[in-house]
Amino acid sequence: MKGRAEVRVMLKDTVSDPQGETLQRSLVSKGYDVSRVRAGKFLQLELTGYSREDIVARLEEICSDILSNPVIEDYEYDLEEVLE
Amino acid sequence: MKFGIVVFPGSNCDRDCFWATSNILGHPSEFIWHGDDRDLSSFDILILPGGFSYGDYLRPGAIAALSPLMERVRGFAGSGGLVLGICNGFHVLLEMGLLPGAMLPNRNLKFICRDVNIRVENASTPFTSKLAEGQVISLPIAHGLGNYYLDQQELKVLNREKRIVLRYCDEEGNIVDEANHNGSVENIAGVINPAGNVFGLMPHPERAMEALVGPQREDGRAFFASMLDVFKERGVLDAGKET
Repeated sequence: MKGRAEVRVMLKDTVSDPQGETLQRSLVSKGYDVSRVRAGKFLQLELTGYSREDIVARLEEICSDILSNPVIEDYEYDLEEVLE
Repeated sequence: MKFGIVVFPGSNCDRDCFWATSNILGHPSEFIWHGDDRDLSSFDILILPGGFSYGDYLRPGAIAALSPLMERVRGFAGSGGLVLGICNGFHVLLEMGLLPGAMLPNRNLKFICRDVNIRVENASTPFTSKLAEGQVISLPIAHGLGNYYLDQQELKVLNREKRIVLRYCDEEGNIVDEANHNGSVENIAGVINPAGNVFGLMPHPERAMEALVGPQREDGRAFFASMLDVFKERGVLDAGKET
């Protein structure tokens, strides 16, 4: 199976996000009523495996060991099959 | 007695480290290119220098931490070898999990390049034995991501085990928020592993080795002198220059 994953990596809620805070202040200064901004990363991966479960296992490993730093970040992803 | 200086694509303080250990201290030093398939057992001290390994892609130090060479560095550290990570080298050690915590962007979102006051919190490490607890020294910092983060629980452990080695302070040595240039938790500037042989710090001791580069620009020497002391005590130190 070939899959396409969309991975989102975000700072944990307990970790301050200087980038998001600065964006929030800038948006308020432009007159927008924005009370909170959190900045994160969005990644797209294409990967193959024997089955969906196989791909999910690898994806979990990639996300937890490499794409996110578990000290400060959480991740989530969507996975869809690519039909060839 | 040989220093090894690990070089990644994007390292930019490797030459400064080499100058410090080789030209200033007079000890054999070699660059170790990250892609080299070489054994590390001939080295006594490894330095992970500052810079922007792999362009800081993903997170600073994250890609460098995946290099096959770093698995051998992990082995070197596991067998008790001294490993010093400076700035981006500190990032790499954090990403490898050899040191606890993670780095966030400086709280003012600016790259900060200046001399800062640092208080020595633990002078009983192989990296700080030539300093005194409570001593205030001056070292340069140069980073955009030096905002050290650790959760409260781990922070307690680090405090209890005296593994916070350096903190940002004012001229009198007070740990105050105004002296916390990057926003690090508890003003932390440097931490050590439980075994006491892997040390990471954001300031650059290798840039503070000679009066030539500015007044009071020699405080970095104490870190290198401390490491060399370990080998003097073991009686295996070749004659370098005076440290």
